[in-house]
Amino acid sequence: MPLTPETLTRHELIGVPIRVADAPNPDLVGLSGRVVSETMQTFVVATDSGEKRVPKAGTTFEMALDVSTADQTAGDTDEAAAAGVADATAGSQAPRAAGSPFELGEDTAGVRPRQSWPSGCSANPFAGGCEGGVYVTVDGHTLCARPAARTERTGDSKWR
Amino acid sequence: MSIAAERIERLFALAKEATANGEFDRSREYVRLARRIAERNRCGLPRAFKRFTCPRCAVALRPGVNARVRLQDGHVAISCDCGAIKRYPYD
Repeated sequence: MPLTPETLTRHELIGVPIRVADAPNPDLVGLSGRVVSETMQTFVVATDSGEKRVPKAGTTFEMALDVSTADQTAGDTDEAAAAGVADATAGSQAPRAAGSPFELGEDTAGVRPRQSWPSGCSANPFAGGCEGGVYVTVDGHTLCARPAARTERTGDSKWR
Repeated sequence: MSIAAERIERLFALAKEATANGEFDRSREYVRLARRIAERNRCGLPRAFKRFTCPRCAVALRPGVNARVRLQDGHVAISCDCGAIKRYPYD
C-alpha cells in the first residue's frame, strides 16, 4: 500500500511536504515545509524560519506527493477500482480519495491556475518538482489520532 | 506490503538521515515510533532495522557517525556511542 491520496491519512506523514491552506489562526495560513514530527493533536513543520507547531484540529492541510508516488498512484487506482474500493477514474486523472480527504491537484497538467502553491510560497522545498506532483487537501480533524494508531482506523484487510 | 510495514521503512530512512545530520533525538523519536507501529500491528521489524538501531537508546546507527562495527569470533558487534552493543551472527 504505497502512499496515495487514498492511503495518505493512514500513512506516515513525517517527511511529507505540507502547506497550511486554512487555519483558525491566521498566522499559520500559508506556512509550508516538511513535517518533522507528529503528535496526537499537532504537527511540527520545518519551515525556512524554524520549526513551527501546527494544531491539526480545524486546520486544512495541502500535502504534496512526489512524482514517483504519482506514478504509483495511477497503477494503484486501477487496482483499487478493480477491488471496488474507489471510483474508477480515467488513467490521466488523479483518483478521488475514498475517505474524507479530497484533492484539488491533478498530476498531469501541472499546477492548476487557482492553486497558488508555487507562487504563493517561495519557501516550498519542492518548488522545482511541483509539476507532476499530486496535491491532496486534507481536513485536519481526520488526522487527529496517535501517530502509531493512525494506520489502524480502517484496515487494509478485505475479509472483515 | 501493508501500510504499517511501509511506514516503518520510511521512518527508518528518516531516522538514518536524521542521524547523519546530527539530530540524534529526532532519530530516536522516529525509531521509537517505528517500533511502536510494529508492535501494534504485529508485523515485526526489518532485519536491517534491528541491526542498525541501538537496542538501548533507540538511535539509528550509522557506522562512522555514531557506531563502530567490529568483526569478532562468530559474530558482528555494532557498538553505539551510548555503549550498548548489538551483536548478530555471521550468516
